[in-house]
Amino acid sequence: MFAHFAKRAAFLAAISAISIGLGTTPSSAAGEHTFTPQNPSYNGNDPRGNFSAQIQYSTARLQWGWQLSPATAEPATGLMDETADLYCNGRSVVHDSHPGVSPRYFIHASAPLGNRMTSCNWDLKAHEEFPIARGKRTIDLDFPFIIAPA
Amino acid sequence: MTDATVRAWDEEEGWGILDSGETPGGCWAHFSVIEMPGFRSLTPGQKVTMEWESAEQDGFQYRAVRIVVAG
Repeated sequence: MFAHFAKRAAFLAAISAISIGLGTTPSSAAGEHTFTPQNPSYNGNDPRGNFSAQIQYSTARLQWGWQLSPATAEPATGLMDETADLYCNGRSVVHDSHPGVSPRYFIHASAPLGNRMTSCNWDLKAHEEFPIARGKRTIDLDFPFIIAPA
Repeated sequence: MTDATVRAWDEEEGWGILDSGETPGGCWAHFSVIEMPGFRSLTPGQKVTMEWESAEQDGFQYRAVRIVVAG
């Protein structure tokens, strides 16, 4: 029931591009969101989609989800390819992808953070693209964050 | 809002399945639509109320858009 999608999606050239910079809590010098044991969850809604993330401190794990809004997905004429990478201090440590899903599919994933949970400057980057009537639409998500120790 | 019971919840992945009379076969749910403070999670057997939409999501025909934990 809880099978995890893990096939890599192929990147195609983007003709139209939308960048989504999610609002983050200005709680650190670099502007990242800071998760704390008291506030382990985050919702970053944007007119083009809804993003959520939370930290499970007991297992050192990140859970996240991302869904395009109906208005953003409406021009789609075909399926969407999505790929995501989680970076620790600029280095990709987890890769995830959802190829060939509906543009309204609720993208969701989780990632182990291990013993570096509170020592990394984390950055979750996701890329989505789908065909539209005249080319392709691409949507990029960038969520930098840090995790305060318990 | 409709009454629902948590059938299963994956603590590691942060999603699960809810059952209600309006969502035959089960309703897919993600932690992000749970209205509660702190770390958001549900427990099998837990009673909640939810709003749902028709959707194709991981083999289910329904997807929760709002979940309120019973007080």
